[in-house]
Amino acid sequence: MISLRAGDQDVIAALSTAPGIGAIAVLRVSGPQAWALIRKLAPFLPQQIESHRAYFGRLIDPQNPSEVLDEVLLTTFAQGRSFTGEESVEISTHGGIDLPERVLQSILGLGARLAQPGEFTYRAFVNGRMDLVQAEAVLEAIESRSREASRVALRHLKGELSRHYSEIEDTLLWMGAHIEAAIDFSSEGIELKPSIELRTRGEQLRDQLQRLIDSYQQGRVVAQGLRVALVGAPNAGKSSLLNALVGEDRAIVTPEAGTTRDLIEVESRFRGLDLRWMDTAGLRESESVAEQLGIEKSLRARAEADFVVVVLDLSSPDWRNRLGDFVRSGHSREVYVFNKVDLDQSGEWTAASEAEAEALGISSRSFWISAASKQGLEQLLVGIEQAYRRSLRGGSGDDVLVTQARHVESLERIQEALRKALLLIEKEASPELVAFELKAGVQEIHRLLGKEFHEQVIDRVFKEFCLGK
Amino acid sequence: MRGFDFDIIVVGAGHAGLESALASARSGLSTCLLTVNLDRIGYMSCNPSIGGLAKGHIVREIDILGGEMGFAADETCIQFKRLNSKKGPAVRGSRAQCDKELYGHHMTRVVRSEQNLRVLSGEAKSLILEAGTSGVTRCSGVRLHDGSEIRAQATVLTTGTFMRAVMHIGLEQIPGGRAGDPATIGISDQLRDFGFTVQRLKTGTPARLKAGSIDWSKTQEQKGDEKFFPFSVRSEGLKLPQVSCWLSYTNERTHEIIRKNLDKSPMFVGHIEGRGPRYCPSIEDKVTRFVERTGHQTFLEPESLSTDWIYLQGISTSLPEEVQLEMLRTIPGLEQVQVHRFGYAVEYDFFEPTQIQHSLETRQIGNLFLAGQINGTSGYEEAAGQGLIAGINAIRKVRDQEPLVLGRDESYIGVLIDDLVTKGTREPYRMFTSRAEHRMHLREDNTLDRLWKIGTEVGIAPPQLRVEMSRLVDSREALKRRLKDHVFVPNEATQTRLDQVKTARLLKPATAEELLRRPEVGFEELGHLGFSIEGIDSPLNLDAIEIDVKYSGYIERERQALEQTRRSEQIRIPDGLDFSKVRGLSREEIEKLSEKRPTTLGQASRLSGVNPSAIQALLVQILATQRSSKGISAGSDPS
Repeated sequence: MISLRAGDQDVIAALSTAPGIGAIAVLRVSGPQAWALIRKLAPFLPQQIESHRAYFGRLIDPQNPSEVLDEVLLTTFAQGRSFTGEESVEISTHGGIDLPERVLQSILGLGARLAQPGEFTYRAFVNGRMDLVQAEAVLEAIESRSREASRVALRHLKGELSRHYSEIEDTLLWMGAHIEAAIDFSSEGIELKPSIELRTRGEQLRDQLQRLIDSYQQGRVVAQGLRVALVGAPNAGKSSLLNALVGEDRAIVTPEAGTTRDLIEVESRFRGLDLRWMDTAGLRESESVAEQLGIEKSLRARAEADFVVVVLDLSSPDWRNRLGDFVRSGHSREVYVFNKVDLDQSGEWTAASEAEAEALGISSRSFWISAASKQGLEQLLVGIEQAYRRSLRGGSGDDVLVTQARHVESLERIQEALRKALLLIEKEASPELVAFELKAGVQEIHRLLGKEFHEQVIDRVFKEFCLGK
Repeated sequence: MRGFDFDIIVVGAGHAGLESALASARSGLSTCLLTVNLDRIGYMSCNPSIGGLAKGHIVREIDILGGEMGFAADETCIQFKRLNSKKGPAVRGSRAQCDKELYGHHMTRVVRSEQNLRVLSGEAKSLILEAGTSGVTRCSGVRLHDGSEIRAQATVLTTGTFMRAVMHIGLEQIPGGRAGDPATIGISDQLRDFGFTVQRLKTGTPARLKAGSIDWSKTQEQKGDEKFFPFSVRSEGLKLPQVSCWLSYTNERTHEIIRKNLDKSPMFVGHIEGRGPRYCPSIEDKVTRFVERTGHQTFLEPESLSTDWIYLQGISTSLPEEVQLEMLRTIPGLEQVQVHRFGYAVEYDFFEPTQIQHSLETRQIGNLFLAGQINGTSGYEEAAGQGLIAGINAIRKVRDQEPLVLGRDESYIGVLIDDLVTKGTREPYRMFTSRAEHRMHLREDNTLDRLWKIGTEVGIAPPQLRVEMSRLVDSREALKRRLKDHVFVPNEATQTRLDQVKTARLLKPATAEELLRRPEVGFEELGHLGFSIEGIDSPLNLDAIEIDVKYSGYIERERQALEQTRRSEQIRIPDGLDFSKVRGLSREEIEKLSEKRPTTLGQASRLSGVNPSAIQALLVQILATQRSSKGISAGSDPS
């Protein structure tokens, strides 16, 4: 929950880059008279400061003018032309822990206040520099871990998603206007759009909504990574595979079956794709309560994951039965990994399992690896990546992606209202009922865009922000 | 009464003034109704009908609150229609075409017979303004043309289209607010000098034709509805014989004559600065704006049973007389038409309505109330609704009581006044159902349920009406209870009867209410199943109950959706809030907000030119102020 002081005229400041060792660090300062405040530290600034200019010089400590704090680059932004909409300065100092901190303390010593989490973006929003959807995109952009994610976030920030939403708003308003005119001007002999035209526009809108809703499948993966669950029998080697894939010992591996009881999540990246691995408890009948709980979690993970890697132990005689069970109950985004090929001296197991995979029609989704010798891991990763890309609906890379659950919820509610409206039009029901549904849709899109003020929505968006953004 | 001639003086005896004056007199206050022309009390200056879409709602609301308009319309109705009857119960609108002579007579008789009401003839030239107790100027009555004064504790101005009014016919301009009546000069200048924003609007009216000169065979007859749903709970049924109206169309020849003569139209050559109603355009407007249309409909409506005047609905115009005649004679049926009076436009002063409060008292001058077209509205019903509220609040002011403010979720009158006061208007404001966000709930059929409590509290309704209202409400409640209590069990007899009325059989026991929720089941079907509706004598009552039951799902969704918004909307903006100190407001928004001074976020959000982001900013400001006043720190203080 953010608790921002409204209406205060404070200058706020914060470190905007991640703290820690780095070549440079950037501090952001925003608020009325921010330039005048910074001038006290930066005597090198000229009389007339220009917007969107970088100034190089030495910052001094105002308490002790002989003391140089750092050599910095100041970029100045005039009121109305900055991110927040306020007079702002960005200060690039040398990196590290101490230098940026000393500069920040000096700024705070001059009367600025430490920005709260999300406050820069919040000010940008309140100052009308962006709508709610764009404000969310700032968060996305900052948090994006892959090239794809940041690309999508930047497009949202530029308002491309907002534009789609505005189109939805326009169409709903257009349809509503025609229905309302048919109600309020029915006695004036004005010509109205035939209902067929309304239906056509409505159906186009329905498709547009569906495309956006569908894009969340990909959008979520882009923004949050692809969730891949590792499932299989106890001691099939799921945890070993996880460690091998990630390249570090994240999961505890023992020869004892049923070691992993809790869900373990590890992230890695492969060819620009963010992967979130979920190691799960092995699936077996168990009397241990803890293990039983773990098994339930792993079943849930299997159901919720974007991708499932079924790990089978070739050295164990019952891999064949297990494979059959998995294939019967599995979904299309499941791949099958036959582990421990390093133990298959004769190649007999491999041949048998290849035949079995062929018979079950899963050859293209089957991989033979060894977690121990790291054999076949690359092919597995390529396989997952390709299968994932194939699973995306044909959309070109230029399509806008919905990345927030909040948006999908809203879009689904709009779609439901529109579905009802179209049904009512088709049944030639009272136009007042059609109007009612369309109005519900308009209200929802306004909520999505932050056009209707809603405490909870605003809170939900801004509570996720971190300092300095 | 120290130094006052009356408790309340009402200036103007049109549709607004009448309701104000009657409310005041009926509540027992001594009242003066001042009018320039005693022969034009309750005069229908334009169309000869009461009600219509969204306007019918207002008339019913006026009735329940104790006003006169609905009863007068019922008594003088010569054609009744329920408009939009196929578009759903919430948007239906009743319209009564009235005998305009008899309507005026009815109103004259009513005001003459009211005990506490004096009707005086005279022109108010200025307001008596005095320093009030708290330094606020107050109005203590009016000064007449002869210099005499009428002093009253509260003054209601309902001057309609008469302030500095100019009539236009072609390029000719005649001072006057209506054919045959002079303009009122003085008050608007006085208030402008006082600091009021005064602007101009324009309205128009069509020609009146001689019935005998029309060839009716070339027009289409339009009969009224078979079923009459009176506006007033006092009414007992139709009193007058019913007449037909007649439909005809303009054509390309008509349009060509209009286009050829636009240089003689005062609107088009720039003689009229006032803005006209977009929703009730003149035929000149229609022809130029909808070039592709080859014909516009016009209804020929008899104005009275006792005269031969025909009103030509839809063809309001201010073209010169000879052009009007030429144009009219191209319309089928009107080839030989003769004209009683030609159409004209009126331009008049109105006060920007954001200068009044929800009570309709002006912000700047105490004890001065404004109602009707003076506030920028159009239509008899909109005027009467305001007149009634202004009257009620003048009474309350005199009696030192809290003003009556109707909510947007309670009535169309509430929507009307809230729109005017918070948004203002730039063209003559007309009511539409789409202006009401609680449309499913604000229906004609449930007006009684919505407003009878307030009506009873207000206490101006004639005693007989109050008795009738409570009887009706009781009978409705009783029937609603019985609907809930009556259970049908799925036995063979019931199932057979369900088959007979063509609705699905029951799988488990169901109440009469649940059955009534089915689209194909009405009270007739319930009757066949053995549910009796005894105790309910009016179809209107049955309608209301059935619609309530059938629409309950929608009404509930509407309520929930609005509840969400309302919670935020009802957040109060602190009285003394300095908008210029609120972060994130543009200069324009600061000006707008400082000027209109909305009291809630809801009102602020409805101001034009105030962006949603400004509302967010206000919300945050208010929350932060609340938090800090509760001693909870809002944000990290640098201390």
